[in-house]
Amino acid sequence: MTRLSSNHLLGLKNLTPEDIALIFETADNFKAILNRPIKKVPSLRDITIANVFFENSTRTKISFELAEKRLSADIVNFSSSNSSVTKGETLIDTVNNILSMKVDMVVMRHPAPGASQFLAKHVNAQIINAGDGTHEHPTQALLDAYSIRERRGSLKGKKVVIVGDILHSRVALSNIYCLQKLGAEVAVCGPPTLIPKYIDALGVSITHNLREAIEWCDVVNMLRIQMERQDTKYFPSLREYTMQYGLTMEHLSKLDKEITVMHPGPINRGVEISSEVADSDHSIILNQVENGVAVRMAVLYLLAAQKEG
Amino acid sequence: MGQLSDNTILITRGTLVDPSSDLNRQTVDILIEKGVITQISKKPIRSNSETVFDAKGSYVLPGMCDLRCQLKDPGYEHKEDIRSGAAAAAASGFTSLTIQPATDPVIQNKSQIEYIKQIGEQVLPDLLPIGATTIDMAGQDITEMYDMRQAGAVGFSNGDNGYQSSGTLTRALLYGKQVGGLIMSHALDADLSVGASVNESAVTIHTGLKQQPDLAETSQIKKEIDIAAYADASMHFSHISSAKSVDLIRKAKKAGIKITCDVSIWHLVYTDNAILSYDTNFKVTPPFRGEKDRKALLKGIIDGTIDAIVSDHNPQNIENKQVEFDYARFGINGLQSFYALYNEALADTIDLETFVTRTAHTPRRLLGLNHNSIAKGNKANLWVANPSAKWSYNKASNLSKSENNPLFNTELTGKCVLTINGAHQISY
Repeated sequence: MTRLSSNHLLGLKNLTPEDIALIFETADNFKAILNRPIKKVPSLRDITIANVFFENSTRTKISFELAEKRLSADIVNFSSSNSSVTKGETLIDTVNNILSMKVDMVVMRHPAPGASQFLAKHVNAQIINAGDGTHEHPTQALLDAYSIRERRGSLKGKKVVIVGDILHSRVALSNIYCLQKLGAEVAVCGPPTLIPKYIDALGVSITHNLREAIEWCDVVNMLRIQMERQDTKYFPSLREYTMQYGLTMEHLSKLDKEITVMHPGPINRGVEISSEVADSDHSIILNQVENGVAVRMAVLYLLAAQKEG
Repeated sequence: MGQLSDNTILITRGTLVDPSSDLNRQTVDILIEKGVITQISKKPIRSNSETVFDAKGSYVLPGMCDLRCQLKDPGYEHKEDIRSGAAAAAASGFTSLTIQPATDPVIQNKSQIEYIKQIGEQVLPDLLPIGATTIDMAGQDITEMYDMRQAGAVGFSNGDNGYQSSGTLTRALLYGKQVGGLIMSHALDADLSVGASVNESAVTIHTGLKQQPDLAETSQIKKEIDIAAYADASMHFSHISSAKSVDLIRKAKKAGIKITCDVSIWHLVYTDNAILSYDTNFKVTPPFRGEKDRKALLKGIIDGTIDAIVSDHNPQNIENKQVEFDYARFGINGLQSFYALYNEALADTIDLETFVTRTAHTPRRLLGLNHNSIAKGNKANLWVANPSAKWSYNKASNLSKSENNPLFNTELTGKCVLTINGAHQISY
């Protein structure tokens, strides 16, 4: 297979395992290129990409920009921490304005769930979802799975636990879809107030005890506590959260098995993850960041090929 | 569409559907003179009437009365005004229309009630204003209910805000006992629904949208049933959505508590599956729940636990709907497609007699209006439905000012072809 099943990347829910395999295979090639002295390839020459960010982002935006630049795409950036609605212009108008200037692809981050799907329906461009509210963050899930595969081999049968604020996390939902499509077993762990009531419908197991989760898993993905997404207090204090769900060396040192620690970043050292763990050999946090560029290059490259085809 | 001007109108060969009539399901001719039914017969009626309406293959039904409808006038006339809403209602067989107070300003004094009544004289449906129960529907202080009632308010509601203060609701129910009028409640514990736009379920978890548990409705219904029992007052729950709510109300009714309720026609047809595509036309409050809930609502309609089916007409302009799901306003434009939706999606489950009871007779009884059976000597308050007529629901046929309806731009089967309310007669 050399083509994706969709013209957009809106989420992992609708990607096939074959799509994911193709993205990984393509990312392998780009990763090799990124390790050469000359990192740039002409693949997306004459393609213009708009990075439209309605929500703050540092690493995702940099990662996309680097991926685009290394593919020789032309890029324009539009950032607004407010949604377009508060400025009086609709999302469709904002994006159509940008598209009028002959833009081919739109990478969008937006606070509203389903915003990228909405955009794909209403504008004539290829849409890449760079995070839509509490819904999906597909490139993060792809790079997470890619990084696990790199460190631990095939995902099939691997046990992955996602720890933290599952309720407000787009990373969790995309990761669950992605890992399951690749044959991994997924569990979620966090305080009951931060676990959606019907999450078992996604086929994941649930635990509220970090120690139990660690004993069960091969890979632990620690989510950042996003105080800014919480409209009310879901736990009494960061201190108490850390007491129950902060990952420390003490959790890992007793284990008689290999365990891989991940984090989508930015990490809160001393909150959900101790410095010692973040900097240990268990951690692949920086590999995730590195792989992010290669995976995003693969996605952009494959989507551009869809259009040509 | 045409206004009929003849003083005399003869409807021929229609199938009467009126469970309160001896002629139910008979093919009849009906003669209407000066807005009054002067003859009804299984035999052909001879008349000099120039206006003869052949209703062969169609049903003749008592005019419907909608218990939940927003007309946005004054304040949001770009979405709907009273005349456009009344026209859309008449085109689906409604001869009476209650109007929710969710306008700007909120309907909360007698001059606003009179404003509605005044326009009501010029349109086909009887317009029945519902005043706000609390000032600005803010839930704190009760309005001048007595004064509004005297001016023609048929009931009181707090819109979709519900009653967050138990004390205020208790006082409103007690005070309302001597005022009269139906006290309506959108049962919602707002604290359990902050920012939520969809049902909490195994289906909607895929959307990332903020979920509202049915607990937000059921815990409030439980509490409000207790309050109604304490006040020994009548109370009406509007557009209930969950199976547990039906059970709670069934039990309360058995216990003799003076509770009634209605359901939106949309909730009898759709479930939370509908929002998986983020179609904002399906963003409604309360949200669509699961299939189990939908089945329980249907059962409630059939066994009488649920007293009425409503349009829950909530017109919204495109600028408030063609946006990201989170930013879209709640509501479906529900009047004009009402009968077609019943005919296409519900007629196999809810027979026409039950439909008539839940859309005409019972709603009128709850509001204290006369029983509008189709009988000699009664004012003509009826409509003719052709179940096999097809029509396009689109810009050309739309009588509302808004288009927020999932059936918009589709072909529908089932059409209201004539509506008569006394001297007002419109054929379609």
